[in-house]
Amino acid sequence: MRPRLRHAAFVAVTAAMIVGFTATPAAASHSWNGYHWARSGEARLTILSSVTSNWSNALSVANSDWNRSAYLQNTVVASSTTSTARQQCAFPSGAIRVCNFTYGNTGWSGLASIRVTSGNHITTGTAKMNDTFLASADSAKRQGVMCQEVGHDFGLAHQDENFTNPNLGTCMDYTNNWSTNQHPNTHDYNQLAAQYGNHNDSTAASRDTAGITTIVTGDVVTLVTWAS
Amino acid sequence: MNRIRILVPVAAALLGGCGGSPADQPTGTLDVGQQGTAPPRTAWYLRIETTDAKPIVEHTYPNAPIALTQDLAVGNYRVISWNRPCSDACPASGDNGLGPLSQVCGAPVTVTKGTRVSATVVINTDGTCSVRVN
Repeated sequence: MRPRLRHAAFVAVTAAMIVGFTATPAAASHSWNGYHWARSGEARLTILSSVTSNWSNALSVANSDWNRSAYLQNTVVASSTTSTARQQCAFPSGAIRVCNFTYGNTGWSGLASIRVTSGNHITTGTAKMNDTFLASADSAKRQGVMCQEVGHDFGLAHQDENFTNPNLGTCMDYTNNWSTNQHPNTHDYNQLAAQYGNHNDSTAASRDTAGITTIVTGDVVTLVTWAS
Repeated sequence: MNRIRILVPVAAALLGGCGGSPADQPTGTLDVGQQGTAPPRTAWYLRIETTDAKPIVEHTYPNAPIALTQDLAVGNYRVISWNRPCSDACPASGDNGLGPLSQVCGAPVTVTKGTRVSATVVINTDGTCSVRVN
């Protein structure tokens, strides 16, 4: 091989290796460890709204967004919005509860918890929005975090956990600029199809939650969305 | 031979970027302590993880204040603490009598070469917490 060609080949190989080390595979599963609601056909869940009026529109939009999936047809139902109810955000039986509260300077802006059975079935979930970090946040960030925490309760993890790389156009992507990350994208809907479509429990899509702070306490699994 | 002469250092550089021998890495020290008294019948936990959520160390403090000194490779980490209610006396180990996660808090911390950095888990009387990096 002539020196110039050899050099060009070397550059190409090196570039390929670098790309191989850094690229995010667009088709990768972002299931949350294969967790999913047990259901027959699409999931028809009740989402209990324990959010104050300044959050209700964000929850409504997030629910409409997720219901664009053929495998989710969920309904938001008003529930207690007392401070105690919102602070505790208790697990409802067979449903999801969404809450907002000034949870304090905890470092997290959102917290999603699910209770699971040994078969990776979700039996209940909660999603907390921390007003300590979100009350004065712009509407895009509030919408994105709401979408993401509710998405976790369906068994979705993140598509990306790097705050500073380009947005993927989905709320399941960590970002410092939520302007284009407020809603699910096609990859989220495809993931839901993989989890809730033609699957059986032994072969459900699985991905460990590497990259996401995950705390397991008994049968409750919690994903932490850090404020920054 | 020329090809080998070129590829060997390139491969070494690329692989080195993926992490060299831990013994060769410069380190610093992280001290974690507690401020405030934990509410009765709560078990507290402490985890140090990388910013991409790889756990480095995790400890349980069922009946003692949070305290940890850990040498760490230079880099960015997150100090995370949480608690679980205990139905009676908190067990020294295992899950018996422990409820689900109650509170969780955390903060990023940077460890630099040859220095000590300290973080404090601030526990409030109602069991809420925050992590302050000093």
